[in-house]
Amino acid sequence: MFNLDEAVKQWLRSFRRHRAYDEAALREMEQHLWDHLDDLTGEGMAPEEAFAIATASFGEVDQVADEEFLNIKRTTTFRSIIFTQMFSNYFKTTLRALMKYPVSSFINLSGLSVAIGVCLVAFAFYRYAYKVDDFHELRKELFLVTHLVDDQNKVIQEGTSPGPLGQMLKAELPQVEEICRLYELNVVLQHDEQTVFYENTSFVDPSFLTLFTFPLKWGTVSSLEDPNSIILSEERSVKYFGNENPLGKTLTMLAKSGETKTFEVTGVAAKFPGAHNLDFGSLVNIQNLEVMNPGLNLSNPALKMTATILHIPDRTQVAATEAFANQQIPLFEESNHEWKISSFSLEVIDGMYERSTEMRNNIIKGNFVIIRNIMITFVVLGIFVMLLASTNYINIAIVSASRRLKEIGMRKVIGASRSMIILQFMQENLVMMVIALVIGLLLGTSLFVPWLEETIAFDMDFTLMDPTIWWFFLIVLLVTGLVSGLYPALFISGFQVASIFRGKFAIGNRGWLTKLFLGFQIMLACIIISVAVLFTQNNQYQRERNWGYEKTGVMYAYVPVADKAKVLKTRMEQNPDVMMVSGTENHLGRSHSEIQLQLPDGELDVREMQVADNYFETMGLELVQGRPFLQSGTSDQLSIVVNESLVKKMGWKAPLNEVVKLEGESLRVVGVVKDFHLYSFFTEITPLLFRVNDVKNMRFVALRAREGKTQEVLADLKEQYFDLLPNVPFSGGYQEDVWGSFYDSLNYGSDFWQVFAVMVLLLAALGLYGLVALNISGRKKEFSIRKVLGAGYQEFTVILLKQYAYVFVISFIAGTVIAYFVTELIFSSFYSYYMPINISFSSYSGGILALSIGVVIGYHIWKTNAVNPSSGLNSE
Amino acid sequence: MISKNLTAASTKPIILGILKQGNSYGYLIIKKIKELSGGQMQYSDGMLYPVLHRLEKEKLIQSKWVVEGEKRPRKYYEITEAGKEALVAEQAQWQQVNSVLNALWELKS
Repeated sequence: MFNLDEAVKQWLRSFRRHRAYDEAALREMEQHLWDHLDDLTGEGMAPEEAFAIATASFGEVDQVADEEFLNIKRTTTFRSIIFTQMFSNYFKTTLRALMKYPVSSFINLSGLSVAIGVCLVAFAFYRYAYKVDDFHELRKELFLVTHLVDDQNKVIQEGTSPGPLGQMLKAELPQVEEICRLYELNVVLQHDEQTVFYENTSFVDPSFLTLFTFPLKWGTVSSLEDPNSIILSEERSVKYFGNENPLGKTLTMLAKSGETKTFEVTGVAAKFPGAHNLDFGSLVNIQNLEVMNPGLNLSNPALKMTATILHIPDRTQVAATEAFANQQIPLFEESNHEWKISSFSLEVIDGMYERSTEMRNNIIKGNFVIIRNIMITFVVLGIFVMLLASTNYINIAIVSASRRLKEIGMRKVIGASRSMIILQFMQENLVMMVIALVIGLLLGTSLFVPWLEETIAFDMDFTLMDPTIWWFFLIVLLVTGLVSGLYPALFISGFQVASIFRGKFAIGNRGWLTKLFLGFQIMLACIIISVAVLFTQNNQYQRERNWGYEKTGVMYAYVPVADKAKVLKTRMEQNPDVMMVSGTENHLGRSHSEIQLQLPDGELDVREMQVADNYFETMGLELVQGRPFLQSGTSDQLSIVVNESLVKKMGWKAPLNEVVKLEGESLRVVGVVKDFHLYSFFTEITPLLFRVNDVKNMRFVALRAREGKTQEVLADLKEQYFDLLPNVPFSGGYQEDVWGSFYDSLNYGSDFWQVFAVMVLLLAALGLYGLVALNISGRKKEFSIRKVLGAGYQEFTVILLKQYAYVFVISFIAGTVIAYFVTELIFSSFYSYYMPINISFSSYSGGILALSIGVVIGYHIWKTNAVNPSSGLNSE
Repeated sequence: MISKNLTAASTKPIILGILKQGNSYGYLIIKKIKELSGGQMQYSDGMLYPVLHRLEKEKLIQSKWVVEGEKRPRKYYEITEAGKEALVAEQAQWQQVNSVLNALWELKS
């Protein structure tokens, strides 16, 4: 039988699918249909036929709905009012909930804010690492000429190029629109008596400033055409002239060859962006290169140009350019046996920083790997803290739900569906996240990033104006919001109303989950504390680690002119407080040369140091076999003293009198020194040999002072130095300072981990605090009854510890094991020499952890015990 | 049969015109249109409602639910002052169109 009522209902349902209709509109259409049906049946039509006619004349549901939708889009409907109303109410309840439970809110907010702050730092690093040198507008059209060298089965890419190549390419190939040659030279720049320093200066083609985007603060780009002009970086301008505009002032350049020339300052570059690698201190026209160093000839194929940059707008022409360059290889190789070019390769400037680690002698220097490692560390830490904060949030939300059971029950009774309650809790979470985001951003930008920039002394060029950062935070917000909010929302909304009101609802059956999270948090805390302990221990270890020679009491001076060095040496010998003076070409911690020994089956890269006969004694280098060089010098021209690493590498059983070949000469081993650290612990000890230096090449004066007289001797050294070279800055000092910022960087490392460990420990402790507090407040009656029955500290301690003790133990063990591997990984990726990790660190981390847990739980026990049982029993 | 486009274009003045003669509800309005056009203006009944709702949103008409005794509740529409003004404007426009067309037909014959 045809049921008219049912048919009309069905028909209406097809409208409900469409958002355009509210209840009122649906009713209106229902009435319409009924009116029509009444008319038709009144004429004696059968209901079934009447329904068919009425609906047909009403028209297609979809069409009508589309038409109606055009209205609704621009209007406030009944439903939209309900929704806005609902959300503003939820917002109010969220704020109320936040205020009502200040402890939980504080724990949640502080955790999430710190997590967001750390994520911000991770992002800042990421942004820095991948934005370096991104500001050059032509970066996709600029190519560095590199050449490949086949060296013992491995191919090495060199950033240098033959001097005349650039101009040849420009002259011969139309696709090479412009070229820029760059030659770096270390010279002395002098403004007046006081302002005189050693400076790296770039000798460039004037196109440098048009190809690269280095805008000038003062002056004009074209002034570089003038060979008498010098353009400074902002930093160097401030160093010489303070904050005033230096245009028109003069700087005198003194090259190592002894040539001098006076330049006029015609430009100052604007401050370089923080995320840059390629830069300059001062620029002069490349024509000056031949003036400042008459030994160099720009058209000589043997000249090793620091860099040649080509501007090739059409990328497809790169291969043809390379091919043309490769045809010229014989020309270069004939000119100079040092060129070992297997082929030329053009490398685009865009993104070169990320690839630069694989290249040698590149103008863009590769510390990308370090930056990337730091970045990865921060990303991992950000995730760590975010997990910590999220688990805190989930735990507290679940446990505190017990306090909001009635509210939830009431909501359900008055008709809230499960999805509405989920929505409410998700929204509470979202509001919390937004507040945390604001605090986190403040923390990150005004505290974390500046602190880090100061600690590691670099400018990350961080700005909130970058749109990508907002995408990043949107994602962080959504992910953490979902992760931390969804589970509690689902859990809470699933409560049965009846059991809530009957008071039968037990929250404890989810205890395993909160414990799992707690364990996870303590494990994270344990890892970070262990890492901090290990870094601190390693810091101490490295501080005490022997350099392999007696550095105390030794000082040195770098003397650019050999004749003056000889005089300085003689003068210092007169000083009664000086025990020994050595005039040497290379000096520990300052310089060496890279050479290749010829072995029967290939070559071996070895470091070479040319030193004076008494150098070993002066520096306290320990000879384990053989003898040092003889005083007379001449007879030891073909003798070498090697380090233990070289002996090991060569596999010599009895190294003395072994012979090695170097550039056709046969060198005989006369002594072996114990391995020592030529540079800091970041660099590995590699095979090294000493040779006697030629006094004509004397560059350093190293000396050992009598104990307690070092200050006086250093003062004398400086005085004598300036007497000989009044216009050349003093470069030297105590040997202990020769590693520069190495020890500072160690301190930064352990400082950083300590601060971080305190932070994470606080977060975990807060989480534990919240959890125990909620646990106790949910069992007020139980504890009160126990107290009435005579329970005291002891019993409460047992109850609480029994609940958590195994969680602590398991997470401590897991954390310790993970920390061991994590630290090993971090150490091995940053240091070449580090402390062997000993499991004893766990006693420190365990102690710190136990103490914090003890304080948190102890506080609760004390509080529980202090409460008057009657108040606990009277509650509710 | 009057074309769809012309029907659609004329709906607004027709509705306003009908309501000017007295309050009415959806079903009655459509019935009246069919009567007046002698069945020449035909479109789906449902299409009337979006137009009514749009006119209401533009404040040319207003509505209220009326329940009378045992009868079904009905949503009555009433023309507003703004609606009356709009109707006058519409009338002027249609008359202009009409006179243009008339002039053309006369020229032809």
